[in-house]
Amino acid sequence: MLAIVLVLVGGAIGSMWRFSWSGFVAQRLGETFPFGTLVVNLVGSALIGVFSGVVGHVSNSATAAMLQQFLVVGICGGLTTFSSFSLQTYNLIAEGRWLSALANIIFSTGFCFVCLAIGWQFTQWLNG
Amino acid sequence: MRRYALVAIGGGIGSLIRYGITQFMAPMGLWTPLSLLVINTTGCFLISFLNFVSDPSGDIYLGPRSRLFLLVGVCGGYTTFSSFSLLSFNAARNGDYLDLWLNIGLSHILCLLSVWLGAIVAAPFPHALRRVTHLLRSWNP
Repeated sequence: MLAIVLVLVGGAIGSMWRFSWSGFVAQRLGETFPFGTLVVNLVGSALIGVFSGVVGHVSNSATAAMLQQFLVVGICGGLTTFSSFSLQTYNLIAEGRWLSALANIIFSTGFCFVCLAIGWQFTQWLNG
Repeated sequence: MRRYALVAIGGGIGSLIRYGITQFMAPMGLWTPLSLLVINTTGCFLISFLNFVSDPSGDIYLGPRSRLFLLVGVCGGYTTFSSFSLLSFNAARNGDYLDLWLNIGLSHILCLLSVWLGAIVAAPFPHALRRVTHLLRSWNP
């Protein structure tokens, strides 16, 4: 079915972006703190804010479903990750770096929320 | 470029499984964040187990390509932070502050616990494999 293809392709694209960008950031900023994962999660959260806002304004339900599957489930779902994030947090804790672990959790959750809100608010402003 | 293909295919598969689970649980009318909690916790257990059962240099169980496919690809595509953020955002917008903090708290706590569990379950494997290979090498009938 079309939904399967949209999710597969979107997820593939998002995952490739995640691999590429997180690797790039990790090269630049080092591996002492999971900046790479943070960046892709921030971008992905901003994008899901935008895409959700867009999908919410699409009147045709079939089109909305396809956009949701490709953009939200596929791209944003592939671009962001909770598993790498948790594993990295765990490793920080295992190294005794409790403050860094807590910072990772708080900054990831908080800034992703803000990015999403900005993304969503942007679509509201566009449709204003 | 082979690396990108592995990540792409794994990520696509992981995303599809995630979609399947959410679609399967949607008509059940359960607590909204539950399906994503199930996905993220199982994904965290899986990435942890696979990570700690293998050696990054490819000595034990999984080579670097398998790790790339399974950890970065499948687990990365399977779990998601964006949908988690969206759940929080929608909860906040609706004034469901209990849902908001419950989702945030449970997600982080259960996912970290899952990672820890995965590490524990994985721990005896590399040693067991070394013991088995050692026994096999020293076997002199």
